[in-house]
Amino acid sequence: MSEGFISVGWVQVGYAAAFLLVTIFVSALLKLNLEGSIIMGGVRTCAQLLLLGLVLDYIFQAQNPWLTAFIFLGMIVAGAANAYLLDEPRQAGTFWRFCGLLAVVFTVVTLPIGRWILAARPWYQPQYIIPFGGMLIGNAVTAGLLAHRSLGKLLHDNAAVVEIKLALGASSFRAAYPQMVEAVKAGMLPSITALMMVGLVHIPGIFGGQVLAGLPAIEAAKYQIVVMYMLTAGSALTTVGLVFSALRGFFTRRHQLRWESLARYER
Amino acid sequence: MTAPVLKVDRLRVVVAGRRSHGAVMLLDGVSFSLLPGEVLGLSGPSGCGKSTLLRALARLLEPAEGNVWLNGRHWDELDVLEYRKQVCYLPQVPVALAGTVEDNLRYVFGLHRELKVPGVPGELLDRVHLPRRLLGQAATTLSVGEKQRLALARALALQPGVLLLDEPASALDSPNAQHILDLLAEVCSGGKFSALITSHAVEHLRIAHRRLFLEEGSVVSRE
Repeated sequence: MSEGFISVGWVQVGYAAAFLLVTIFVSALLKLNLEGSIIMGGVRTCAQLLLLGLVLDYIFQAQNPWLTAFIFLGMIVAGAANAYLLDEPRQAGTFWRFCGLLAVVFTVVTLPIGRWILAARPWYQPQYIIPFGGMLIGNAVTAGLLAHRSLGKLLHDNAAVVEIKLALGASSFRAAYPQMVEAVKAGMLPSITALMMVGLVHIPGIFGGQVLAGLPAIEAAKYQIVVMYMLTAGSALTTVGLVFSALRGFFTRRHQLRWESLARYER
Repeated sequence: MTAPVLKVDRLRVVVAGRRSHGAVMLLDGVSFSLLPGEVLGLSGPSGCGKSTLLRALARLLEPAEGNVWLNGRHWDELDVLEYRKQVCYLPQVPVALAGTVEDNLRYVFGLHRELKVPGVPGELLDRVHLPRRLLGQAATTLSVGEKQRLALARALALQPGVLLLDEPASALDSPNAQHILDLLAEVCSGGKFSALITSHAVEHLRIAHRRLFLEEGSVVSRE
């Protein structure tokens, strides 16, 4: 047993796989037809996390700023690619829009955390900055996708109202402003809800992880507070940036609704 | 000879068809002029392009070809928002904005600060024969006929030179239809407004000075 935390051996990891066997058994019993997905998911979880562990162990030891920057670049591209794949309906501009936004959000939020809040030495110490950046990007993609979908759906559902405002001489920004506000709120909702509920209903991952790793609970709580504030700022910046930049996709430069863009949101 | 308020020359609107369908021609070379104080009626069967023409003239959709002059100036020379202030479009189904009737009227003054706000917003309702007691009522709760008149009051507040009215009486019962048409005739008789009114019902165009008949996106006859 290592000092401060209980090390999990490979045999114990194997025992934990019994939980998956139970799940597969239940799936087969109830004819849920999920056995293949559960097996594939279980194998992928094991492979992906072990690979992540190996890569991060190497990066943590290397302490190379360029390597850390490269990892972040990869995270941003992967986040943007996931946003493109998960966006409904898929749109060509989504990938590049998310790439730009995630890069800005990462720079504005994560760097000050490393330099001034955690005050790690060096400030880019990958052991701290990579988990923070990863959480930020994951959360920002979710918030941005929610906001993007909401904006399209809201403009589609309120097209008549938006168009009458345009007909009265409103700019596209002014005509769509109520829908933009609602879309930002929709994107921010999970972060705001999490701020309200954290510690009361669920124990968040970083808190649990640090307590399991042997850190005093109060120290873990402080880390979690920083994380929550960071995630909220990341969501806000992403949703606002996304809604503003996506607006151009729904209007022409002559302040006309692009009906072909709205048609994608028909149910 | 009086110069036209609005001159339309060979307007052509084409939209991309969905999926494998090719482009669809909605308007094909429509030309006409609208004179000051004139009410021009536009009729034709459903789908002939009446609404498309009005929306294109309001510049809410972009024509593939053609030119429009407003008071002698080409529409490309005008800022599109300024153009829409002078050429105001009212859709077939009247749209009430969120908030009260008064909020709906004030929306126009919020957009265009240069417009003179009437001392009493109720004056705008008087012009369309809506009772002032409605000012505080939620606009979305009005009847279709009341919404139609509110939309007209909101448009008149803009003081546009041209009103584009898409089937202004189609959603109304007979007495209300007569009322709104009489109101339009009264508004245009002052000479400050010109109007282009569409209707598939000939009796709704009785207030028109001239009529155009549209079929499959083209003007087929003029009266």
